[in-house]
Amino acid sequence: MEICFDIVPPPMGIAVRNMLLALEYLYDHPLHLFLLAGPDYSQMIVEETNPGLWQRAQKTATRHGDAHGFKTMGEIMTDMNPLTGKLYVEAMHMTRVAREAYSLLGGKYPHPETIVPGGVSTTINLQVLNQVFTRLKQFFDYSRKVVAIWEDITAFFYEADPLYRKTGTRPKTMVDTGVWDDPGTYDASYKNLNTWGNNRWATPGVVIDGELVTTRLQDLNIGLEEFVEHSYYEPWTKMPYPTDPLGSPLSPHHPWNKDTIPKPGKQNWKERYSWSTSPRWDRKVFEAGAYCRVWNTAAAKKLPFTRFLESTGSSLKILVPEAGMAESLLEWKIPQDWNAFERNRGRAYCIPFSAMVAMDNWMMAMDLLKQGKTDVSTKFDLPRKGTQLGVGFWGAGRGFLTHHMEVEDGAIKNYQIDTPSTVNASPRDPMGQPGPYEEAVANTPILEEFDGPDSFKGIDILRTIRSFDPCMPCTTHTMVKDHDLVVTREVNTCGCGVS
Amino acid sequence: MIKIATDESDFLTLGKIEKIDKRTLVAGVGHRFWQDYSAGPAWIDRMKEIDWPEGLDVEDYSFGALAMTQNLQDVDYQRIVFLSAEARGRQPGTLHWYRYAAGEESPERVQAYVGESGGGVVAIDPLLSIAGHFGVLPPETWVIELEPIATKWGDEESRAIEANFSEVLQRMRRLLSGDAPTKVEVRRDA
Repeated sequence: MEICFDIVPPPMGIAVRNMLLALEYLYDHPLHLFLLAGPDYSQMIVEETNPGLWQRAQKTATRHGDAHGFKTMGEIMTDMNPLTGKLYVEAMHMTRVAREAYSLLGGKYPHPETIVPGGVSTTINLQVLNQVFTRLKQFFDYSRKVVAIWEDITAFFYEADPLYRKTGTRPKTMVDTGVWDDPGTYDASYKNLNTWGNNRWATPGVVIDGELVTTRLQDLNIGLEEFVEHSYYEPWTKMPYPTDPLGSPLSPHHPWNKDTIPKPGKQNWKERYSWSTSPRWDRKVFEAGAYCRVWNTAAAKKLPFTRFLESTGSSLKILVPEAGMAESLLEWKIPQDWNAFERNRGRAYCIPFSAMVAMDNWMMAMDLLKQGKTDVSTKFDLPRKGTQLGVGFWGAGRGFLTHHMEVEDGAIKNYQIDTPSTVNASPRDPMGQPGPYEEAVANTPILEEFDGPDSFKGIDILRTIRSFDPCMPCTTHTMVKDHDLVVTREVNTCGCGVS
Repeated sequence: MIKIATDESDFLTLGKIEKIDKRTLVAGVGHRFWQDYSAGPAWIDRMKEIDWPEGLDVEDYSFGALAMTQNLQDVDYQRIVFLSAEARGRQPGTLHWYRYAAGEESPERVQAYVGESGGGVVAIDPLLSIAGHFGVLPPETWVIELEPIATKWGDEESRAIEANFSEVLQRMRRLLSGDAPTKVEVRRDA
């Protein structure tokens, strides 16, 4: 709406919005890493699906015990047990800490009440900011610990069997819209979107086969298409927008040209089989995730002013201040392999990344408060005549998020949302390319130890799907080629659903 | 038998309760804009218009089981009444109530509900399961539940929500005055 109607939030409004988003990620990432995907790597599951691996874990020393306190991998896995493990219970507590901080600024979580076009409606004062800080600070030590745990988990599995490097592998092709605007640059104009986009704390970008090919939001936008040939929708025929507002050509399949025409039907793998569409960029299959955020930012070397982050071109350095533990420099390096383990490891680094962006913006908010610049939103009037186009480039906890809107005479005429799970769960496109989940699962070796079909649990496939952090209780259906057998596994369960 | 709530005396009668016998939470659970599955929050919205005596909290608990479990860790309720709607094969449009006893639910089922809650599902069963597992439900936990008629997305409820509201209030009145029924289903998930 801000782009649609030229509504520019004041600096404090942007700072608060940035903090809100960072806090949302601080809720989301521990939830995923320890409550949803974490159990896949717990003693309860590993002992059942790979007894040899469990034996090994009990005898393998950790590398980062100074940060997380565990001496052996077996100890880590035991504390990752669902419902009872200390890491599980601790993560559940940390989601609450993040939500409390969020609620101080947002009113409540989920469904915050203070986010408006043009800023926020929160009253910002010293008390609120201090209450947020006491909760944010708890993530300093926690993020050190989480990073260390997932570094150890990744190293352990790789060493145990190099084939784990292929779990969930697919090309290193991903897109992220970037998040966290710089108040000095963001002017809510499509005309300048490349400038303010490049000044985000998380840089937008498209990575193709491991190479960052663009960080321009306009490129990201005009390259976007959605296909529905294998989805429960009818194709549309109209093309109201042959170009974007700057005159660059758009595809008939661009969201601004899209019409949503549901066509429910029977599931047929060769025809329509999903309610997700197939978003593509430049006709390439891309994935979305929190890890894309850190990848783009690491590669781009385009951070705004920051006290805590450094992009080197091949890594993102994150300076985490002293809390209970000493100040430390964490560094996420762009990986050689791309797979389920790297997705989770990248997501672990997103915790200190998000925490330090929140700190940068918290300190900015304090400076603004001292200067008396406490306006948090800009008033606006909505035009009642004419047609306007708007687009929101933002990010869910799981990554890439776009909202495309067309307004006509003061009413929304068309509204299209592409979420990260739409991207990742997409079915095959008309070019025959499978979606990210499909591709990753097809590439995953089966490393589970089992005697026969009855004892097969599918843990490797479950780890693959869950590494994408699917935002939906979903079920995977794995077909066996030239066979009628279809293995169905619910993904919303932890691996303990296998027993 | 569906009662039509056209008589406001039910509201006024209930509103005259002077004292609650024990610290009580009445919580609605359900997705809004899902026709009859919105019964819980819809009833809570109406109940918030009533002037309740001290000791009774009326809250919307339609925000995910994990978060609501953490909420319950903070307050020592001695009685909880959940209001919800769930399709369980009963006659559509009818109202039911049962007492919930946190039992020996399998870790697999509880964790499955954790996964669903993390993915955004809002429903009474995940909440009971997760809250029960983490020991935050008092021994006196009740559920007043509608068997839905209309179950598509949208805000057009069937008449069942409105029609049963008076009966919901009557049952609430019995529970709040310590006159809970003795012969009622006790649900234990195992």
